[in-house]
Amino acid sequence: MPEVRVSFKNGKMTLKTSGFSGEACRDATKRLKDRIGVVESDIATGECYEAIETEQNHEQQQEFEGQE
Amino acid sequence: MSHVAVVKMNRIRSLDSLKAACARIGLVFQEGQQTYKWFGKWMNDYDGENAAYRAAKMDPKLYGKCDHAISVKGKKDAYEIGVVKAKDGDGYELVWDDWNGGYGLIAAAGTNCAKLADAYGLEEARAELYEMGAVEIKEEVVEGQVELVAYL
Repeated sequence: MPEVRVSFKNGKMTLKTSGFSGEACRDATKRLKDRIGVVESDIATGECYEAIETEQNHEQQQEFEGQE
Repeated sequence: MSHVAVVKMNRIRSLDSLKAACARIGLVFQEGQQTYKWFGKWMNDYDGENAAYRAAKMDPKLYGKCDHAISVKGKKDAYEIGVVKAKDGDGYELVWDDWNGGYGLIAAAGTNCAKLADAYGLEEARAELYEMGAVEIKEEVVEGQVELVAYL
């Protein structure tokens, strides 16, 4: 199940997500970031990029299959 | 983990979250209280970046006046926090006097009201996560910090 972890220290929020596929990890946190304040740093880790690439490859494959 | 973001918090926009934040850390939200306890006289002896007259463009003549106030539970002598409508109409500013630790205020609310800001953030995050459809939200303490764990 997708999970979001949120903590605060000295007026700054730290967000961590896991279990999302592709861009969903950014989408899921956008609302939180918009509500809370100004983004100072935003790092998508390897797992996120891997998930995005996997999803993009999957979409490309579907397009290719559709052309056949 | 797949995504880590650090977000600097905006000003106060939800009084409901502020009330819940106060209760969380032992402060009391005083609805409609129009003065807050402070030194009582502007000495023109502080001009740091977070001085109310600089950060909130507040006229020192209005120090001590507010729309709501926040007091420290069980500490009658402690100074209070003023909750003042922002000049641009967008939310509220917090103002306080930290002279002599605000006689207990800073211990309760944190330096620069950081404890209160963090508690407010948790309440705002909780509200947003529920609006996003979280099926469960729990709290864990990780290295002394409360962490919200939400399942979507």
